[in-house]
Order: sequence, then structure tokens, then C-alpha cells
Amino acid sequence: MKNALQFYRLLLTLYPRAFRAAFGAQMLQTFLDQYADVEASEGAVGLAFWLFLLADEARSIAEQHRRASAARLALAAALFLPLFAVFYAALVRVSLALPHPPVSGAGFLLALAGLLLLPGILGAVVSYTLAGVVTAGLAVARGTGGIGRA
Amino acid sequence: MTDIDAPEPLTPAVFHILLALANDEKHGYEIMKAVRQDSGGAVKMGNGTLYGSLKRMLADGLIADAGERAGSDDTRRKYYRLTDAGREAMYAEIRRYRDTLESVRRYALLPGGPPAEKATP
Repeated sequence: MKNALQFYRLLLTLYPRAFRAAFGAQMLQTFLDQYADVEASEGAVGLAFWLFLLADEARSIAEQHRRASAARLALAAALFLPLFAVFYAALVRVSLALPHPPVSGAGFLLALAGLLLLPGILGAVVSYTLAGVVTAGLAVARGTGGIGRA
Repeated sequence: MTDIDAPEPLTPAVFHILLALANDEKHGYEIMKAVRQDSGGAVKMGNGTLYGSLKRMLADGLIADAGERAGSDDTRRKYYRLTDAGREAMYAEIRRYRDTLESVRRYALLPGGPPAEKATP
């Protein structure tokens, strides 16, 4: 039983963090109940039990990662434009405040590209990180009773 | 003609979880056992499928957290209950099954051959 429990604990680490935080403890308890039940009724836990469990968990882990990525990307896409605008405005303000030495045509184009690229990279990184935090928080709230309390 | 107000058909896992919770609150393993029993062993639900379905059903408001309680073995477990929306979705699915069964009867497609009145000369 101890080895089985450790193995299942390890398996649970493959789920997305938010899903694990919301349902990990319950899944572990359900696994223990199921394992004890099979052991009591059949004398030992056989290969069929493990094969079924592994197939089901593999499907479910892939599905939860797919759902978590889709939700995070959708939110990140929605956050990107406002963040890009904020970073762009800040960068323009800073660059206007700095002394401007005369630049060549190529130098001007390079500076213009940097002015668009930098807020773009910053916006993408910050929106993706923020989306991760928000979706993880929402998933935990839902899994731990955030919806329809008794 | 399609009824655009009719709710989407439920997956077998979701429908069986709603059935399992129709009469009382249950924790994860009780739901798993009830589903296996209600479906005569046809729907075998693993831990991953069960909690993936519970997560979606909580988000859709079909079920709700009914709090934690200690069972006969003194271990605390989280219980789930059906919401009004969940009960409504379950009845809608039952009506869909009933309508389908009526069509099957009408076309004399029930296993075992045509209905008795047609089979006898």
C-alpha cells in the first residue's frame, strides 16, 4: 500500500499545478479508498487495476494540460493589447525625456523597431504570467468550494 | 427542426455523476461506485475522469461543494451535491433518452426483433 501511495502521489505531480491544488488531496483519498476496496474484495491488487488506472490518468493529465493552456492563452491574448499600450506609452515618455543625438536613417529605423519590439516582448511575458496566476487562482477557488456553497 | 433552447447533450460520465447525486450527497469514491453500479459496470470511471468531470461540472454550476465530513473510518472527505441547474440538466437528458427510445420503438428497432403485435400473424 505504501509503495502504491507513493507512486500515485508521483503521478499526481504530472497534473497542472492548479488542478492538483484543487483536487490532489481528494484524488489521493479516492485512490486509497479504491485500492483498499480492491485489496479487501480480491485479496490483491492486480495488473488490470494498474493498467486501467494508468490509461485513465494519462488521458486525464493530457486533457487537463490542454484545458489549462487554452484558458491561459485566451486570457493572455486579452491582456496583451492593454499591456502593450501601457509599456509603449512608458517607453515613448522615457525616450522623449532622454537627450537625442543625431542618428542616421538606419539608426532611426532600428530605434523605431526597438520601440515596438520591446513593449511587445514585455507585454507578452507579463500577460502570459498574469494569465497563469489568474487561471490558477480561479481553478483553486472553484475546486475548493468557490461555487455554490452548501 | 432543432430546438435551439434545448441544453447540449451530456457526456455519459457527466450524466451518470448527476444520477449518482440525484438523491443524496456523495464523496468521490461513493460517486465512482454508484456510477459503476447504476450502469451495470458499463461505465467504469477512473480517478482522472471523475475529477476532471467534477471540475467541469463545478464550473458549469451543475454540482456544488457540500462541505467536508468524516466518514465511518474517521477520514474527512469532500462531499458534492446536485444544484437546481444540475437537476434540470439531468431531467433534460432523461427526456432526450425517453424521446429517443420512443423513436426506436416506433421504428421497431428494439433488440429482439419487431414489436410483438407485428411479429404475431
